Amino acid sequence: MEWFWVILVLLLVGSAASLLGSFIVLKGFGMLGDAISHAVLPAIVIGYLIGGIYDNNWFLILSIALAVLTSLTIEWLYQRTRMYPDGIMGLIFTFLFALGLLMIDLWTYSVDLDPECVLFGEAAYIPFSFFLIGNALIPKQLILSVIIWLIILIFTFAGYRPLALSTFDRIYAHSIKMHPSLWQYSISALVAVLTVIAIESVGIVLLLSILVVPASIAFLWAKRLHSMIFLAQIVNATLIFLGLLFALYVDIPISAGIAILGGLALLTITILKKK
Amino acid sequence: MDLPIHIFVALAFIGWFSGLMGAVLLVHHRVLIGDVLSHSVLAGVAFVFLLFLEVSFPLLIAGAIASTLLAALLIEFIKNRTPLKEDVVLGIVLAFMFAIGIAFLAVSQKIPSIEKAMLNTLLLGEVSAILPNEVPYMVIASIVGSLVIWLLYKGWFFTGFDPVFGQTQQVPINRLRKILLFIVASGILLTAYISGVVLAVGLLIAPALIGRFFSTRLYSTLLLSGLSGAVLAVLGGIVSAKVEGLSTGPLIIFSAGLIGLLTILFSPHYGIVLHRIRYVLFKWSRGQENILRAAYKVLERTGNTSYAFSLEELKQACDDPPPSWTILLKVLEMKGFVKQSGNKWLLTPQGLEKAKRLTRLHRLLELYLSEIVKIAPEKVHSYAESLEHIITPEVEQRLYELLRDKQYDPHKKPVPWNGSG
Repeated sequence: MEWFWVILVLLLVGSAASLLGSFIVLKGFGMLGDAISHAVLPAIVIGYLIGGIYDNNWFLILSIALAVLTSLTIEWLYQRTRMYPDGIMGLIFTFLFALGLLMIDLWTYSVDLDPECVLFGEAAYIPFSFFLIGNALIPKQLILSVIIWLIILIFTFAGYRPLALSTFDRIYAHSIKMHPSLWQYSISALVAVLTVIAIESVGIVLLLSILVVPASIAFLWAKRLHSMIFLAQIVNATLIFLGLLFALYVDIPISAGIAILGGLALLTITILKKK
Repeated sequence: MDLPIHIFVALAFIGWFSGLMGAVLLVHHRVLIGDVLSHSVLAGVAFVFLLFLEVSFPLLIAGAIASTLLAALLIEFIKNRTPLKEDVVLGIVLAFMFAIGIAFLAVSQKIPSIEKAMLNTLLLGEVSAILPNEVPYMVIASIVGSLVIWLLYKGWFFTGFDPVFGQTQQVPINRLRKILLFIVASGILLTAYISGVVLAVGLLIAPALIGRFFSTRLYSTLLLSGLSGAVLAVLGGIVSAKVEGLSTGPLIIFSAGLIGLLTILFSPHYGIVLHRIRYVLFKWSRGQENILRAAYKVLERTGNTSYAFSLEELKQACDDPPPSWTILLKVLEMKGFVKQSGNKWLLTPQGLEKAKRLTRLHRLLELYLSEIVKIAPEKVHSYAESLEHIITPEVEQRLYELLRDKQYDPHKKPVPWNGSG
């Protein structure tokens, strides 16, 4: 039963990530997930300080708040300076990660927190905490994954037209009052929420990988946005199943296995592709 | 915790070199490459662990350089062969290399003999682990790296700011971009040594942003970035020596990040806060000018000889309304340009003089735009509206000389020359 949950969570988070991934790949924000995943460390430390290590929701609430705040700050600083979006992003996330490490240093007696587990997170070792719904025990991570998956699914389908327009022709979108920067902010905020949920459920490495790899592979083939989004979903599911088998076969962490396979798949396509 | 002097020497040189690398990457908009390369170190080091089951310094360095070079090659390869944007390629390679590192690490942790503390040091950095006999190598490597960057200074100029022009000047743009990648691939190890692989990019970015936000030229950006890198690294070292229990690496990155953020907010030329203040000041001075010009328009229409006008007339005549009518009219009153009498306003002689000058400038600009630049007359008004506030006195004089015999603007309104009207 445990395995069933793991696979289901992987598929849901993967599907949500590759939905957002299409817009991220087209816009070129490939490092946003990396930045946000590092930036939430202070919130995680404070969350653990308030609620202890096991089964507390402070960690989740504070991290989501900090993640959304970080992504909005990055976007805002860039809108204001119009200089070096990559530099500003790097500055903020290293600053916050360093702050988190210093907080661990300061309160190391009360926090038994390993920064490695934040960075590595592993799907198969998720300490599932279960809720009783009706007659079934449902893991918390599954509920969170379903919620975020539904939110992102509805967001993408309901906002398909403005999203596509603000991705491809921002100026036109602006001129017909579609508020492209608002849609931009929403994508950043959703990546932030998804990242925090992924830290707890599938691990950061895997999230970084599925945010960009399936959508990039789809991008190399598809000619239209909707076929790209659809193709990314298929690539994502295939990668997750094959990666799972690969990881079990060579006995490495599942998230690492899927991420490695994803990288290899993209490399193979790049090599085979005619220039 | 007391830090011996040789560690400060290492911090200063590595800080300088990191700042320099960061500055060059920043002007190329490629600074996040530092993050990808430093995360790749893990894969090489863990691989060497697995292969030889022991920790030896030269082997580790070889493994680390091999993996950063591999990452650099992958970035270049995917970028050249696909239409994917650079940031996306970075994300792909980062996830791939980091996943390999984690996989190797997971395998190595099943072998009991391996020291895990060593890997933690690698991930998060441990300055106090630097030995006196390693310092000379670090210093030499930093100097060599800096020299290479300085030697190619002219090249960065083209690749960073104007690659197309560089190509016409026979500058090998693509080769230079590859060289930059390989300098950083080898140099990032030094940075990672003091800050750990996860935070290494912070010691590249913060000094580079400080250098860039405080200077407008490439050489001063490089110099300032290098210097602030050295100062920030040493400063972090000093603080961590004074305060018990704080690790040096995170402290350096934290203070560097803080100063970098303050720079983005408050630096004189590009800083957000001063920029905002200048913007608001400009909006308010533009508002005053618009009010005076609207007043002139009203008087022109009514022909009021006592130079009186009401607020409603003013609001109707103004095409570009100011942020606040009441405040700005009060400001103009304090400056002696207008006077209040009952519910009417009066233009003082100075006010009239100024309003006339602004109107003259506006109408001459319209004339200039329609007759010399050949822009359709119905469009010139809004262009003149935005230009008239930023014209310098020198340009104004030239306009007077150029158009001195014109009596009417494109909309057949008289140009108020001195002595007339």
